[in-house]
Amino acid sequence: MKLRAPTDLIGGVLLFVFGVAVIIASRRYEYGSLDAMGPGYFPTALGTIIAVLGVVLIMRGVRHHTDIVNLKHVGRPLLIIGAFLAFALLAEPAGLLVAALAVVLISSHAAHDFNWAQALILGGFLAAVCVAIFVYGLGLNLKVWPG
Amino acid sequence: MELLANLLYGFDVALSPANVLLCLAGVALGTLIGVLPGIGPLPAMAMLLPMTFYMQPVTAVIMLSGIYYGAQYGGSITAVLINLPGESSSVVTCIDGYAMAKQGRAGPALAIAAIGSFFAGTVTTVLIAIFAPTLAKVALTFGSPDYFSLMLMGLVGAVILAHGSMVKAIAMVCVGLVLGLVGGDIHSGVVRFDLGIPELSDRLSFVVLAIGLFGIAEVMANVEVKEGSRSLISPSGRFWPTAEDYRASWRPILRGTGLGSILGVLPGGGALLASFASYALEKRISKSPGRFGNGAIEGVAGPESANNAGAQASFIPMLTLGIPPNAIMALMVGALTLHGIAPGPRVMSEQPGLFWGLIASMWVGNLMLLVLNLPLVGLWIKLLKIPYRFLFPSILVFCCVAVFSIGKSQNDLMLAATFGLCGYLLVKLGFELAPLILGFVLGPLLEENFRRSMLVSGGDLAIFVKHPVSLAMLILTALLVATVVFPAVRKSRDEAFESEDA
Repeated sequence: MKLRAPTDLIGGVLLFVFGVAVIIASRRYEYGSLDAMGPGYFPTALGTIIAVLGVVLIMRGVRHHTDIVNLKHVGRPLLIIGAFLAFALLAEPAGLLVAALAVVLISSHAAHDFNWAQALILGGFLAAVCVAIFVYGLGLNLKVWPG
Repeated sequence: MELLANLLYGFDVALSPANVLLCLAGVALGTLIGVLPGIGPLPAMAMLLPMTFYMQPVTAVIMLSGIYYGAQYGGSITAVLINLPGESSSVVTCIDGYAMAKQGRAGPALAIAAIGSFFAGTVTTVLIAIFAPTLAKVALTFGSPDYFSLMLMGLVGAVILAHGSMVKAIAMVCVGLVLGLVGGDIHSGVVRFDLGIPELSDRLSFVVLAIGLFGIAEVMANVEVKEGSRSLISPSGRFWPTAEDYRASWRPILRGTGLGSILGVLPGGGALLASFASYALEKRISKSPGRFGNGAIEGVAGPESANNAGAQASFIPMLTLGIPPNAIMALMVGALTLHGIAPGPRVMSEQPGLFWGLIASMWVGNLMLLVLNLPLVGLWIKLLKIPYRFLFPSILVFCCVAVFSIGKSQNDLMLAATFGLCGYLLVKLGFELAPLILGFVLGPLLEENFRRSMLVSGGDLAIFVKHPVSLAMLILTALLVATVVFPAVRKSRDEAFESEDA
């Protein structure tokens, strides 16, 4: 996949959307006045600045088509997020050992020279180190084994 | 004499067995991540933050600071031997350090880097001990308008010194400020921007944000690029510098230390800026600038002293004003806050053990680093051979467990993953993340002080120019802005960053 669009344009749109979202979300909080600012005053001001900067970037992005985003290799970074999510889903039900092993096995695929045997050994080793540090070393009450 | 008594008290704290042990752990880990390219002190410190819950506050900051200045030592090893900056502040060391290594003079390059760093570390420790108490006393008299203007100056400095687009840097500061406002509002008790997630109702967790932005996002960005082949030059022949080397180096070390101490204190400053400035200075005043790039020992001695001085000097504004000058100090503020300590001028009087213990530990840590680096350099070289495919899964596992250990919460993990994804996207789009983390730390303080100023003045913005300290800060801020607007200075800024990209 290759998405070709100027970075400034995309960044500007994202900023603008974020700024407007902050302004809208702040409307639920009292605005107040300068001498008695409510909880909505400061975030509204910041949201406005962010939205304006977004517009500035959009205009710059439209004028110059220099920087291009290349998403050709985006699969590898997504594997990293995938590994992290796997940990989030597995940590509670399956325990620390399984979750840590899953992180290593999934994320290792992002390497340019992946090797199953090495990934398994590394995963087992790191899982054991984590349990040793966090459960036995720091005395955290985390689930270690599945079941 | 008071200074001496304070320092002795500090050494008393720093030399307790637990503190010595964790100082050693900190500087060893710092050297390790300094040596390894692809991981810097920020993610390492973020990963260790949850573990510091279980330590004494003073022990926690001693260990975390050890990582920062330890990384300055370690970074030079990688720079000299494989022409890769192990640490971003060692980028310029590559130039002449690697050239020296190719001439078979890797030993003297490494030795002079370590000696220069140690000298700079010693001087800066003394400087902190002398100037921090004075600055803290002055800061105690600051009112809300003064603090607001001071923070504004800090943020403007961070923007100016960010690489690349300033519009993007300002935007990142503002996004950080908004993220800092998540959670309960002190004045009204209203919970803002919690999105219905209970983990957000208090405040967005610093650990979650830092691990997302600097752990996950950094790994994501790193796995995308293919690992280059490295050609390691093992040091051979004479290890110690010759008398000639010392003669050429002592002035650059002195100048680098001075420059680093000044630039470290400035908003937005720190190790990185100091090393670049020192290299530029040495090259400019050298009688034979042509030698630079071909193994001039001054090009190693100056920047390596400067980056260590800069790293340590940046503790001054953090410890005395509570204003972090760079992202690493923002992380230190986060660490102190976790322990219920608000960094600022009161730390020195209310937590003297922490304040003086930390300062004394820096000298202890620097001494350990000298030993760790010079005789044990062979060990670090072995570690250089660890391929990145083993490193990044390890970083990731520790990130996961660190986030999970805060509150055994799936929401925290999901939030960290979200920040990781956002951080990666932002980096791809040419945004820098350091200004964001500064904004995040300063967000609530900035709002609080602005609000209080407005309350006092009845909504009159002129209060910021009526208070002399505040006015002085605003003038300094304006000068900072002017340096960028004026083309001459702007040009040299661009040049500095260009040479960095090269």
